[in-house]
Amino acid sequence: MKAVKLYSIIATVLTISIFSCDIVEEPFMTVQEEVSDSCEAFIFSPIENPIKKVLLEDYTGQQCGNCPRAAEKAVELQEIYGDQLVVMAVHAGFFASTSSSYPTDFTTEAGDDWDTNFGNSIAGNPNGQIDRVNFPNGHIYQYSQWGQIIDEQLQSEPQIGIQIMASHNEAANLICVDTQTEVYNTIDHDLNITVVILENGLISNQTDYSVPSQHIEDYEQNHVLRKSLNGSWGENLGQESYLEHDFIINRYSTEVSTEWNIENMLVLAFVSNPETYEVLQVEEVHITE
Amino acid sequence: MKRLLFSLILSATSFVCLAQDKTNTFPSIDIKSIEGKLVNTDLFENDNQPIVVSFWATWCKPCAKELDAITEVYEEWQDETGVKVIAISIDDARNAAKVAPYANGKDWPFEIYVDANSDLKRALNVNAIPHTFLLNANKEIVWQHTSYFDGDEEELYEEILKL
Amino acid sequence: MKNLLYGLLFCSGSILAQGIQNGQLSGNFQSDFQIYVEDDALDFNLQNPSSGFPSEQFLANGFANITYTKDNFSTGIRYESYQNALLGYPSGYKGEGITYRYAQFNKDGLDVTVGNFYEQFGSGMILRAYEERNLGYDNAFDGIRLKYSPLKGVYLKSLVGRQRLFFEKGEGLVRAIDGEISLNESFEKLSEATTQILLGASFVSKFQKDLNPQYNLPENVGSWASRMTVNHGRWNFGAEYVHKYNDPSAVNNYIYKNGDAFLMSGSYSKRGFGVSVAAKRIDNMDFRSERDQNLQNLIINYLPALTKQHAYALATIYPYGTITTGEMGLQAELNYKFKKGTRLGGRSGMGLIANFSNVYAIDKQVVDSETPLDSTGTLGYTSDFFKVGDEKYFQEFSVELSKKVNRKLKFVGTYINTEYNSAAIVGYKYHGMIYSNIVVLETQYKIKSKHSIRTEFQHLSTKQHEGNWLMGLAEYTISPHYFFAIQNLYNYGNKDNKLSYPTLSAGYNKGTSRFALSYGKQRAGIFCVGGVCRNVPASNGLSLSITSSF
Repeated sequence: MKAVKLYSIIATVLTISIFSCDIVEEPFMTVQEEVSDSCEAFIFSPIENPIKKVLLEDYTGQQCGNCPRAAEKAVELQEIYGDQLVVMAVHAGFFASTSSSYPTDFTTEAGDDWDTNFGNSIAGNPNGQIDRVNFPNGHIYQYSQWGQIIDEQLQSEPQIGIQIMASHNEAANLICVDTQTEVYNTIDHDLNITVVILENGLISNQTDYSVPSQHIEDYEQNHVLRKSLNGSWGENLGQESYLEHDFIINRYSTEVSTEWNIENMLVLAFVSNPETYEVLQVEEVHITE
Repeated sequence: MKRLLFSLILSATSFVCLAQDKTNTFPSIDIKSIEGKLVNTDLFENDNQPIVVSFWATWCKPCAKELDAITEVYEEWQDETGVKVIAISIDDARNAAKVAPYANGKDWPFEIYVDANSDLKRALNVNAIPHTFLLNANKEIVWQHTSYFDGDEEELYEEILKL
Repeated sequence: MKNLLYGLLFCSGSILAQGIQNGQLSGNFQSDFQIYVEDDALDFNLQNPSSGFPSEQFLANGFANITYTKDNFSTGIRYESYQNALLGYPSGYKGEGITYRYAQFNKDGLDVTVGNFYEQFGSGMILRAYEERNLGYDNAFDGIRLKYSPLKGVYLKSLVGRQRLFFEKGEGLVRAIDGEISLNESFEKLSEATTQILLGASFVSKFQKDLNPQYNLPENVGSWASRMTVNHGRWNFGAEYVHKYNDPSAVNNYIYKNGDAFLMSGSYSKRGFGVSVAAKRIDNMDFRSERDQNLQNLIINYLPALTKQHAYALATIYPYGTITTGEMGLQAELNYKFKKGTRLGGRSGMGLIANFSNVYAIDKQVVDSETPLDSTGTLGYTSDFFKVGDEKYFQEFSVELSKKVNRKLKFVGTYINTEYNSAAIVGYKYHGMIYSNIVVLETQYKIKSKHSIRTEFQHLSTKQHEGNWLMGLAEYTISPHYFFAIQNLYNYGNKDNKLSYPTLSAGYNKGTSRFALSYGKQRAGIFCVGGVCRNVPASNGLSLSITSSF
């Protein structure tokens, strides 16, 4: 019995002393970028025929040999559902890490934060989320299940509509983004809007178990998440509840990184319930000149 | 709520256990003989002399060490106390075919059984192997020990002599 | 339902107090705690989110089982907690709760179990529900199981239920029946015969609704198996065949091909000598109660690997795992003890265990000229039962010699030669076939009565993957209670990163209780099952493990 006491004391002392100390340094708030003056405000007219669109987040990595299969499935599903399916490829976790043969880094702060919260990469890649439904038990889906869940999500009527206007101001080296969120039914909980930039047509290395060498040097990565314009978890749309015909305008701007190819880039915005993370609506547009 | 309930159950049962001075009898479970036939542990008997039941597996090195050590002194033990050692393997289909050749290759003089579905292991609350039980003449569990260090068989023998 | 069970437990508590003479209460408990410490050499820290360093910094797993038995009735319950689960455990283990509860009674030869139970038919290739707590594997059924013996020597089992998936249950419904007949028990004339024959057959089917918009999937998937065991004195022979009807699933890429598995083994053994051979073939036999599941989730059957299971640290760097979509292989093992007094036997004999095993791919041919192999929504491929595929997955030869030199000194020497197809087995990026040679020398020296020191020296040499490894271990034990150990694995042959994984451990044993404390680093690993790969990160920290039973 003595040994039990000794060991339980050791265990308690160690646990209290070692693990519970997180010291946070300045800055304490995550900083949101201010909208530049070089961006002109855009005036939207209401959407004529609102439709529900579904967000498919493909959690993937350049060193994940089975991930090209998931990307192929996403392409197949886009052929079936067209504009109604919006795809975003999130590179995060162990299989997205860099090495001498995989020097490009496709990870992002937002992607890392989402992956830590939702646990996609520790569950094993590839996998994905559809409209982030069923968090925390059952939100991670294998690509063979995507079709079924997307189908289910598309059965519902849109509660809100999103419009985006994204332009490239070459002189100021900025991307200017304006969004308008329109409400069609009463919603009595908070809403968050998250606005991100994606890039298509990135040629780089990818592990692929279906080829004899297990490696493709010139693989085309599409829908790659590059940056969030308003933090990993977006920002509150501002009201405690929303009535039919309410609309909220948000404006953003960001400096263009030298790594980006503007012609291949899109802006994606989604509105979600900040408590359940469930996505109510998503929209994406190409960036115009 | 669940945590409260759990600690309540645990304290209630531990109180009951401390209150009772009883030893548990060996459970009655169906396991398989080395030929694959169904055998019930009720059939374990040794003429009212002590029985040692030891859990092992072909991949468990300390288990082999323990059974080897007992093999070396088995004749003396049997002369002095009439004890019988029964070795129960928890190997699954991956190694089941190798149980008999392995035990014979090591020249073990014990009765060997296979607990294919781990029913006996669960009934006896075995978490890690080797786990050895000592049964008295009434098939009550009077002593048990888990893991094996060189020389542990001496402690087992002392317990057998007490009976 | 839950309240009823809790109520029953409290009732059984008071029944216990009265009927304690007849009833028996027992239980066991295990708890693992780990405090993680950042390590820059392993790149295991908070700055690197893909390293898996847990922001909680302290992780704990625990479970406790309590069982009550009285005459022909028994009941039990298990509480598990993962707050949060240790690194390397499947990510679904989050939270705490009662994950196992059952009641079982036996009357007039009918054995009824309600609640959770584990079961195995034959070798398990058609159905096996089992637990392996240290790997986080548990696919227990929740339902009803009946066992009955209508005639002497005839045993029937039937079950219906859903399988466990972490703290939930799978959607798929499993129904199964198994019959076994022991000819020697059933027929009087054969009861004294030296040849003993057992025959068995099973049927298992699972049901899951088809909600897939793209394919027309079978909702009821059935499979049957037949087996036989023949034992004649020192000879033993067994064979089992399983056939599964169309089961398109995420693991086999939604092909409609039937699956089958065949396992055959034979052995001869007598005192001091034993030899066994086994062969198997598996073709599209991944069988789960939900067709879209992956990794270790909701598997109904168990396809054994026919390779030798190793315990030495360096021999577990390249472990073999069955490739359920298709493989075939064989294993042969020889166990022999050189007698005392012979030249090799010396004073107390010498033990020899030699083992050879290999695994190849099955032969896959296209269904027709327009359909590529394994295309979704087709029959997939055809495969000739007797043809061996071109790709070698695994081959291993090992020899182990154990000898007691004198009263104080024993040693075990082992040599293992392995060919490991890392891409096929574990999904490693372009490392191809890894050829390795391992030598291990283990010695045990008895310093004085009850004090003994055990040492291990291991070396792995390979030109592929991470290169050579060196391992050393010294363990001091004081019978029957204490042990202290120090070990180090050193990857000196690695061109990029010569990492060292030292560990210090100590422990205390008393009766059924065991406490073990260890501090140090652990190697990383990747494993892939059915098209999804998981990474177990390298880690550094302090761990405490407590286990006990009463």
